[in-house]
Amino acid sequence: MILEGRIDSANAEEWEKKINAGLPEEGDYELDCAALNYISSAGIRIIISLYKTLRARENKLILKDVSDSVMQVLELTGVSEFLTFI
Amino acid sequence: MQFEQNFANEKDSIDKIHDFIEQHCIDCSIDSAKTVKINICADEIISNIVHYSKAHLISVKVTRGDNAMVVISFTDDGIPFNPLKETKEVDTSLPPEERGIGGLGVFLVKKMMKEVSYRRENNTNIFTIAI
Repeated sequence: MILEGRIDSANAEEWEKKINAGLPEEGDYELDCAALNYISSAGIRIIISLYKTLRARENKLILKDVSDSVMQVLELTGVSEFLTFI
Repeated sequence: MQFEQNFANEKDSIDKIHDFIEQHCIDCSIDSAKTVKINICADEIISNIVHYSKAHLISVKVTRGDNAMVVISFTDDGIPFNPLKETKEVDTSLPPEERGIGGLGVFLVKKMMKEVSYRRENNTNIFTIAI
């Protein structure tokens, strides 16, 4: 799944549907963040909910090529500790 | 340097306000890292206004002072609402399973901005952030 542009309160609902639709039936889930400019708390909520789903079935949420600004939000909210980065 | 614009209080304005802020941050020669932080915080403030304030208008003002500080203020004519007071503290040391989902937005604003303030004046809410 490729994330791009911004994930904010204006488009979080659409992103949530898209991201959930791309969730594999089994195994880890990789989100390519190379083209993701920024994420607000509306996006963090999606990440937390997805992490919970994957953790419940013992899989990982993997974020690939996260930019500094996205990483800062993940770190400030304490979410980065629970994710896998490549 | 100062830019100000009014927006209708509706969901479609969220993108327009982001574009307005982004454009004027460029006009004020604000670096992109700061602009991203401002927009993340703006999103939290605007979404609160759009969803809860019952306001008609949102006025956004971008000011660049001589001291390189950027000040953004959001004024709405909605019901009195101080997000700094109403929002619970978020315990980010808890694992995600045990965390409440609310309150993250204002928490981020407080962490990312140098100054954050709220005041009620002339029947409007004025929320100001500075970085």
